Amino acid sequence: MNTEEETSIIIERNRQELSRGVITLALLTILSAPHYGYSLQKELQNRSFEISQDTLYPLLRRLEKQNLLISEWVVEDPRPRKYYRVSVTGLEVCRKLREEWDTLHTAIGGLLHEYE
Amino acid sequence: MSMSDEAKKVLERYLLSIAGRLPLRNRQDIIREIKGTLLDMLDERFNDKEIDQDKLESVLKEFGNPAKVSRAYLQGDYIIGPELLPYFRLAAAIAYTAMAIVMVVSIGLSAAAGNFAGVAETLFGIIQGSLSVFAILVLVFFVLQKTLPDLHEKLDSDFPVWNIGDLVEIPEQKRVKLSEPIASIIATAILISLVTIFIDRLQIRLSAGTACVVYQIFKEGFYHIIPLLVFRWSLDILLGVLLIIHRVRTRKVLVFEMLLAGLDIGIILIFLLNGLDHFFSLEVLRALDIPVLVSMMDWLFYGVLILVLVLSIIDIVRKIIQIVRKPLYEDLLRTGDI
Repeated sequence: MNTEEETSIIIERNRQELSRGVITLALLTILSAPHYGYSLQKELQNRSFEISQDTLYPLLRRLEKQNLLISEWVVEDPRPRKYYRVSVTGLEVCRKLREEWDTLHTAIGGLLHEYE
Repeated sequence: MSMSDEAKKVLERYLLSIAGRLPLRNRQDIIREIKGTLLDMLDERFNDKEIDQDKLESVLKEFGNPAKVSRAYLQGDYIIGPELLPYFRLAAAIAYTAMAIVMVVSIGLSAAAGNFAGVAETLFGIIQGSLSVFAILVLVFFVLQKTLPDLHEKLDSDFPVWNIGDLVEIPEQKRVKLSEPIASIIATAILISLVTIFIDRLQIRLSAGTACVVYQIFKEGFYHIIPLLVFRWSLDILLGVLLIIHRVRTRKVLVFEMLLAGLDIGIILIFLLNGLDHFFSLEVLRALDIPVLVSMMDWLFYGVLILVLVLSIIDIVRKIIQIVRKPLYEDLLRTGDI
């Protein structure tokens, strides 16, 4: 029998896994228009995606390294900002992930409804 | 938005604490982005108000423990990751301390027996041994890195509560005194002129009555190595010029100094392997028929060379540490003013 603390750790890990799975799709979708880090975080929060800075920024860099995102520093008032937007490869990956999401959404929706 | 001087200092210390844990690659870019985000957050929360230390602290606390922030950027493929690095350092410190003890004892015994070739062999062995130990340690820790489970998984609760007082201090920029490189350039120029223009005048004259015998101090072997020595000393002059221009030991200057120390080791090994007789004429000492003097020359030659060799190795290690640590603040400053 797990303690309450052990259970909450398990839940937290699985919650992180769950959101990690969809956050890439969310990012690639939003970044069809350029955003800098903080504006992107605000946009995600407005859409009920809770993501901390220490998850978002490293993730952006990983996606950039995988050539799914393009970034550039834009000198603007009041300070320079690093803007990200989705690349051609990123768009293709986004399209495939969306198809996967639709399939998964239908499957899990049906499953949860049936065993409710 | 304006910021008090105390708050600016805290922000620099916070960024420095993150930067210190990041890999060199992309560090400046990451810090620049984090800094921009923090300023955006401050803008949003305290628009048009002066940012004091309390306001800044509230945002920094929200942003998170510097260790946690930097760790998020480190989830890549490592040979040795940040979790194992302290243990790797400990293992390396133990191994190299043991090697240093063996080296000192071995060199002491060889030198006491007058076996200077043995001293040179020991030094070669130390270099080979050091590389082998390093390779073995890296291999062992690489295997551990790849096989230990959950090295990267760390929840928020694993990071201790942090305070502003825990942030690293801003290092002082030590400016090089102008007299130091100027004196070095003058001394090196004198040395170069001695071994190029005046080398043939460096001789010993022994007179007995009307007879006078002239002994050349240097042998052909020394003449062969003069171009290398002049090249090495010319680089010293270049280093002096760099220090006069920059006035601080930047990363490039440190790398340059490290290369010079490496070149020194090469030259010392050439001297050690060829021996005193190859470069210097000892006939004059032998003619004086004072064996103690010849023996002293031997000791002096090898003693000075070994000392310089050890100092050069220590210098390289110190420079490597400085190169990795020192540029942090320089990187930070390049991210621009607040």
